Amino acid sequence: MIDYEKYAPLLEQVEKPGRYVGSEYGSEIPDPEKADLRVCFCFPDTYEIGMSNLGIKILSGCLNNTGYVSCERCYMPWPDMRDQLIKHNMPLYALESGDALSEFDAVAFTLQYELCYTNVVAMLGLGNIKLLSKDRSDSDPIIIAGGPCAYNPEPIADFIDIFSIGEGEDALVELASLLRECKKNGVSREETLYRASQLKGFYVPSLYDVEYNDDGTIRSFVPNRENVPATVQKRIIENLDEVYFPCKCSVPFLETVHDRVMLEVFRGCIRGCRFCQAGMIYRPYREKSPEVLNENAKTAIAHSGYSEISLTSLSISDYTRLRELIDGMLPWTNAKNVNLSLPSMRIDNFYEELLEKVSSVRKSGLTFAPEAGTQRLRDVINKNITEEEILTACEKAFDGGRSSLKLYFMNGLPTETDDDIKGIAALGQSIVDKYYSKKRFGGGRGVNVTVSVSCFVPKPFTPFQWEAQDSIEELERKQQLLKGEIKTKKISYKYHDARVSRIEAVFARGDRKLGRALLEAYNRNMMLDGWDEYFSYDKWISVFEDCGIDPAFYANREFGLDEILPWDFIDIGVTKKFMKREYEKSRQAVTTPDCRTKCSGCGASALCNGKCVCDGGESNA
Amino acid sequence: MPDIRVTFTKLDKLKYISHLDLQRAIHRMLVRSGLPIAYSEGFNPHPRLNIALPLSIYQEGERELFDFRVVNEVALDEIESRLKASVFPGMDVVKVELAVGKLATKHAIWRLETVTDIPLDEFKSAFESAMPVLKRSKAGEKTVDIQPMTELVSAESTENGIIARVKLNAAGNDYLNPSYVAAFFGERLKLVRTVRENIIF
Ligand code: SF4
Repeated sequence: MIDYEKYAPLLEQVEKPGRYVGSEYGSEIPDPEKADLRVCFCFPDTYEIGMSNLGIKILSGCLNNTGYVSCERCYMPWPDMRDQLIKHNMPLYALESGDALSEFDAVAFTLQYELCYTNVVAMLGLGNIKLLSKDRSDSDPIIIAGGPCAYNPEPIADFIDIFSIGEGEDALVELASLLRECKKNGVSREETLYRASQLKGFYVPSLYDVEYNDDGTIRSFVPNRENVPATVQKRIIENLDEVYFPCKCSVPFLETVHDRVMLEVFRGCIRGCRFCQAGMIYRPYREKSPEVLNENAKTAIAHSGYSEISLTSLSISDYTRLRELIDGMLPWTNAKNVNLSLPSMRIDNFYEELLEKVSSVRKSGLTFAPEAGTQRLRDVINKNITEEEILTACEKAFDGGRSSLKLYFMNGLPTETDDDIKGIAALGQSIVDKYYSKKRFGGGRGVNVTVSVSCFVPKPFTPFQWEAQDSIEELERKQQLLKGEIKTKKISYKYHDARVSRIEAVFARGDRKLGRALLEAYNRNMMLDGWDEYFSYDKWISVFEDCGIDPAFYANREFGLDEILPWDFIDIGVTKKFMKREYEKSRQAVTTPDCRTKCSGCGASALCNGKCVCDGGESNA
Repeated sequence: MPDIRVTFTKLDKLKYISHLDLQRAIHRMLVRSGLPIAYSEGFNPHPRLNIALPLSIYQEGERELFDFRVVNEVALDEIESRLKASVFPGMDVVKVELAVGKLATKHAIWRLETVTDIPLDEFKSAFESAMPVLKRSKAGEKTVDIQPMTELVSAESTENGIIARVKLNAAGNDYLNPSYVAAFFGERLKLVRTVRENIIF
C-alpha cells in the first residue's frame, strides 16, 4: 500500500527491520483514503510484545469492522530505530500507510503497565504530536488511552484527551461513531471532548479540576463543566459469546512473545486475592461457552496456520466447563498437530488426566503461586491455598514423573514479618523433602524448585490500595534474609529489582502532579523503562527531585481510609465499602470465600443487572 | 507421493525478513493450505520443509525453491491452487512440480542494483582479473580472491549507477554472498537492491 522506499535508508541501519514494516499475513485493513475516520492503535512497547497483545487485536478488529474506520498499528521503536528517525528527521509512522501519527484523526494507546508511560510520551513526541493535551488544537489528533492502567489515569492525564474505562469493544465503536460525526460537522476539539464525556465509560481529564490540601492529598476532584459526570463508570460486555473475536488476525513474521492463537475463556476472577488488581477491576466473572470457544479456535487455526493455542484467562481451573472445552478441542487439535497450552492449572484429578492426554501440559512448566510463606500471611492476602494442598499437588506431580516446578511469592506484603520470609524457604524445603521421601526414577539430577519472589506494589482498586510499600532497604534486607535461609542447591532463588517496583508503585498510586515528572523524563530521553538495560532508578530520583515530587508520598505512605484517592471518581462496580471491609478483614487475617462458594456483596453484580456468579448476587453489605 | 518442489518469490517488504522467519512463515502457509502435509518426527512436530538456499536479510528472490511432502496423493494443480490461496505478502507461488533429485544447487544468478560513479567499462573489466576481498569466518579474517567464483553476465548503466547480473557459486561450502562483490568495489559502490533471479543446479 505504501512506498517504503523512503524508509529504506533507515531500515537498513537497524537490527530488526521486520518490526517496522507491517505487511504480515492477514494484516490488511480498510483503505485509509476511503475511510471516514483514521485511527492508529499504538502499543507503547516493542513490536514483539505488542503483537502478542490480544486486546489490540480485538479492538482494532472492532474498529476495522465498522465500515467507516481504518485502524492502523504502531509500536514503540527500539532505540536504534528511534535514532534513525531523528537522524533522518522523519516522524514515527503507522505500519500500514507509513503516515506520521500526527496525520491520524485519533491515536489510541493501550496502557498495560505503569513503566510504559514514558514510551507513550516518547511515541507522541516521535510522531510529531504535541505532548500535552492542553496544547493541542483542532487540527491535531485526539489522543485516547485505555487498558488496565487507565483505571488510575491520573499520572498520565496531562497527555491524554480521552480515557476509555473498562472493556472497549462496544465503547470504542461508540466513540468512533461520535468522532466521525464531529469530524464531518467540523465540531471543535473542545466540544468533541465534551461530547465524549457524555458517553458512558469515558473520562476526559480536561473537564475535571483537582485541588490539593497542604499535605499534598486531594481536597477536591470535580467536573468543571455542567453535565459532566462526577464518577465515570467502567464498561463491560455482558454476554461474552456475542463479543467480537479476532479469528482473522495478523500473523507476525518475527517471533513474538505469544506467537499463537490466544483464546480468552472467561473474564474476571472468582477469587479475591487482596493484592490483585486484575481480580477486582475485571469483575464480575463471566464465561464464554465451550461451543463458541471451540468454533473460534478452529477458525483462528485454519486462518493463521498457527500450531499452538493457549487459553489465556486468569485461573483457568475455575472455568466451570473446562472438561467440556478440552474434550471438544483435543480430537481436532491432535489430528492437526496443534498444541494446546493451559497456563496456571490447579493440580487436581482432572489435571492428572490431562497430563496423559495433552502433550503441551506435559511439557510446560508446573507453577504455583502461594504468594506468601506462611498460612497466616496467606490468610491476610486471601490466597486460599494451604500448605497441605501445595504438598499434595507436588507429590502428585512428582509421582507423575515430574521433577521441576516453579513457585511464585511476593515480599513486602502488609503485616509481613521475618517469620513469613523464613516460611518461604521452609515451604521450598518441604517440597524438596517430599520429592526425596520416596525412591524416584528418571532424571538423575533430582528435584529442582525455583522460588521466584517479586516485591509487593500497592495497586488502586484493591483492598491493599491504602497500604505503604516497604522501603527499598527493607525489601532488599528481606531478599537477603531469604537468600540466607535457603540451605539447599535444589532450590534456585530469583528476586525482582526493588527499585523497579518502587517506581511502579509511584505511578500506580500517582496523581496528576506526576505529569510534570513524565514530561521531564521525556526531556531527558528516558524511555523503555520496562527493559533492564534502559531503566535507571537514579535518573528517576533526580527527575522527581527536580520536579519537587516526593516518591515516598506515593509509594511508601499509608493512604488514609478517608482520603480522596486519585482514582476515586472511577466506578469499577466493586465498591469502596467492600474494599474497606476486605482491608479490615486482612488485618485480622480473616479470609473471604470465593464468589462461587458465597457472594460477598462486592457490588459488581450491579453491572450485570444483579446477575452474578452466585446468581442474584446476594448481598451481605 | 514424491516431494513437491515449489518455485516462489521473496520480494518487497519480505526483504526485511530473515531466513528463519521466512521458514516459519512458510510452515504456517503450508498449514493454512489444508494440504495433508508430512510432519517431522519428534516431540515438537513441524511440517517437513527444505528450502534450497537461504537469503540474507535485505535480499530478495524471484525464483526461490522449497521442497515439501504430502502424505496422500494430491493432484499438482490442486496443490498449486491451495498454496496460492495461502501465500503472504511478497511471496508468490510461481510453479509447483514434482521434485527431481535433491536441492543440490551449483550457481545463482543475481541482479545487483547499485549506485556508483564507477564507469561501466572499468566496472566490467574488474571482473577479468583477481578480485581480492577480506572474508570473515569463524576461523578469522583472510583475503580471498572471489574472481574464480564470479562471472559477470551483463552490466548496464542507469541514471546514477549500474545494474549488473552476476553468476556466483552457490554450492554448499562454496557459497558466495553477493555482498562480497559489492565489498570488492568498496566505498565507491553502494548496493541498493539485491535480487536472486535464479538458482541453477
Ligand atoms: S457480586 Fe458477589 S458473586 Fe458477584 S463478583 Fe461480587 S462478590 Fe462475587
